[in-house]
Amino acid sequence: MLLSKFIVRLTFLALIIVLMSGCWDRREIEERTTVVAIGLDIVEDDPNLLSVSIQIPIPLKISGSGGGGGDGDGKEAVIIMEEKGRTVLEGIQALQNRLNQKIFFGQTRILAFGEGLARRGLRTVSDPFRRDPEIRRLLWPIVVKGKASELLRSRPKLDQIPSVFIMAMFENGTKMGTIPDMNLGNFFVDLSTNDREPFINLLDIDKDDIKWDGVALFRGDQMVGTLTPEETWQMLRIDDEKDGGDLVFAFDGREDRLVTLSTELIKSRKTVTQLQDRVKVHYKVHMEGNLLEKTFGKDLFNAEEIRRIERDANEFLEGNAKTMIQKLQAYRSDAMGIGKDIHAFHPAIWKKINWTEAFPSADITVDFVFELRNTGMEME
Amino acid sequence: MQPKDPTARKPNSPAGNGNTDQPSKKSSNSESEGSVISSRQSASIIASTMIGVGVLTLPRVAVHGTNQSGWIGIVIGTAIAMLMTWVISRLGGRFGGQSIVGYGAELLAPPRLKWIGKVLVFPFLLLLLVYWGWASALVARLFGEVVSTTMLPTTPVEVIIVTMLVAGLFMTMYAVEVMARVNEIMLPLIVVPILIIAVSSFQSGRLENLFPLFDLDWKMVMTSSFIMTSTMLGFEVMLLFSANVQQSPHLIRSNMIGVSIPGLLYLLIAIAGISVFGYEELQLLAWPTLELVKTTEVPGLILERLESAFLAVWVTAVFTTLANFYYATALIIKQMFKFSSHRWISVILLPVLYWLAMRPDNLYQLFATQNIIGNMGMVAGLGIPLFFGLVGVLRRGKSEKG
Repeated sequence: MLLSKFIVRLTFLALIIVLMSGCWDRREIEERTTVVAIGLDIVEDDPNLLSVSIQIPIPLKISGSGGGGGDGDGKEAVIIMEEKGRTVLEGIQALQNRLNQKIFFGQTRILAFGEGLARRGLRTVSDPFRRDPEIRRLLWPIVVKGKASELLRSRPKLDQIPSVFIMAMFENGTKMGTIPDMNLGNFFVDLSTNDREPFINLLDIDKDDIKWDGVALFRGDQMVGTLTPEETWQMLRIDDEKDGGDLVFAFDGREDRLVTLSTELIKSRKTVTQLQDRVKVHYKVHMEGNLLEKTFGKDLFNAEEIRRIERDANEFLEGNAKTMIQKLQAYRSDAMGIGKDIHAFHPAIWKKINWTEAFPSADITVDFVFELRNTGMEME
Repeated sequence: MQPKDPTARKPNSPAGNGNTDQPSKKSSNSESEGSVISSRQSASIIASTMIGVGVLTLPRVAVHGTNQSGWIGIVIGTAIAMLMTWVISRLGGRFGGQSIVGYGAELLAPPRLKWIGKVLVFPFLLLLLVYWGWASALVARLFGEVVSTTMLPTTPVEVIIVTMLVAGLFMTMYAVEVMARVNEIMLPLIVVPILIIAVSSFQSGRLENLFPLFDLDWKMVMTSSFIMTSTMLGFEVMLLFSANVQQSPHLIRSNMIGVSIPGLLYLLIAIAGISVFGYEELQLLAWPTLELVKTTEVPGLILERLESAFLAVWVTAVFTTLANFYYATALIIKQMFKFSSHRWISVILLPVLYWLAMRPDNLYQLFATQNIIGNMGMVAGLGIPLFFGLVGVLRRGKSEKG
């Protein structure tokens, strides 16, 4: 009895030691090639091929990473490699063949698509990124005007690793409410949601200069157009109650008298009604703001002038919002998810309409109520 | 050094249900190791058996057919599970110290024709036995699949399964009391992190994904409730373990709490999943709860990639489910065939469970098998308590008349 118990315990111990201690999946950090950014482009000469580029930081070249290896220049802190393949993973396989360590996507922060590829459609090329458990849903998808590989090759001087620069740009932008929080997870969700169309942040590259240039609009998985930064901010204010950037507009309709205002504490309310076949969506957006700059001498510090600024601000915002909405309707891209809202909160109306057809002709109006709170450190 | 199994060396009474000739509430027999499980432990066993691998696929399963209203199925499923647990607790209370093996035979035949009862109850017990065994094998397999796709891609899935089964075997080597204590200790370790994840993922949720609230027909609600009830299975282990539960006036209330903990947790996870992803995206995600964790940043923490931490917690949830089913399988075999100890049965079961776990060739077959087992579990978990509860009511009426 005692012996059998002993044997049982011994067996357990042996099994535990054998099974629990080993580590099939151990892969030390220096045994990996960490990819921080992936770029995907079409190949002009051959429509069947994709061009896959990756950005890899070189740990030894990053200054401050110990060992005194950094040469401080940062010029060669990353390398960019590019390969062609019929599928994304074929391209990555070709890249792997040129590398000494296994490619690791767990730290990837940027997934850039060239404009050409985005216009052709992103559903098929995003498939491997949905499957791979290493890929985060919190990374940033980006549409690049021109080629995605240009974004990877671009070297903003402010950060040694360009991807870190872009990442910081997006993180701060979303925090300030100037850049939409469109991460890969949100993009996937919008892509599969029937009643909402996706959009992705758009970057413009000029050699080493990277500029956020609004968003790329999609219908289904195909890019159909763009919104400028100002228009994107209108969308953010109306749909997300985010601050957006500052307003610059002509005071009293005179182009030589410019006023700059900030916008904050935005509250957006929406009403949906139906008149015969036409859906009427009306937004009422309340916001507060401060006077940041004016380019003329007139004292604005009285009730009437303040009311005039507020009125001009409202007119400016309304005009701007109108062009934005007209663009969305022209592209037939419901990026604000109005359809989803009608489906969710007005199911009776939803059942009577076909949103894909009703959206371009829907009557979408926005009323702004801007309230000036503060004039900064200046009295006038 | 380690707690002694009180029955291990005790000579087993060959009579088995021998004392049942005079049905008395406090009949003691070989099924019982004494009333060692407290009310709270009983609730913990129910809750931690119910919370298992299903957590990872739950939001997707919930929206299947009912779109954004998938959570309704969970509410109804929880209500059904509570009703069944109530019946099981009442049966357990009426036949204190006896499990389904004992009181099942007693209920199905008059005292003089005991052997008829034993024969009649046999198919029911067989159903439970096959369901529990197969379910624990599938839990191990699902666990292996998740771990090997998400965390340890180069580790063979066989190794993960064997590790988990051996861990389960380890627990079955101990007395029922130890199992109850393990469940009691592990329950908060399972509930609290899952709760934190579910609540903190609401920050990226969108309200419009949950509306319109009641845009569905009755057929959809029925189907969904059926499916969700099958994900709530696990409470039926009390058919067996009730023999060792201390009878107390709080027992039924505790057991109800035991069912409602997973019910609430599942409800939260499903609502979080639907509001973050929307039902269209959910249908495309193999392990939606894991994706939910991946999209969640715990505010104020430097931690990212919480899914590894979540999976570590989830191992505990899987372990309690697997080990409880494993234990129940071994114990019911012991009681059915009047073996002296369930330990050697557990050891013999190990390769059987491993074989069952490795049978599905791919994830698709695995989910298909899981469906079959889920339906089997529905028959076992709903049919058996209802049937014996009904027979119990009828027999009681008869005996009072006689």
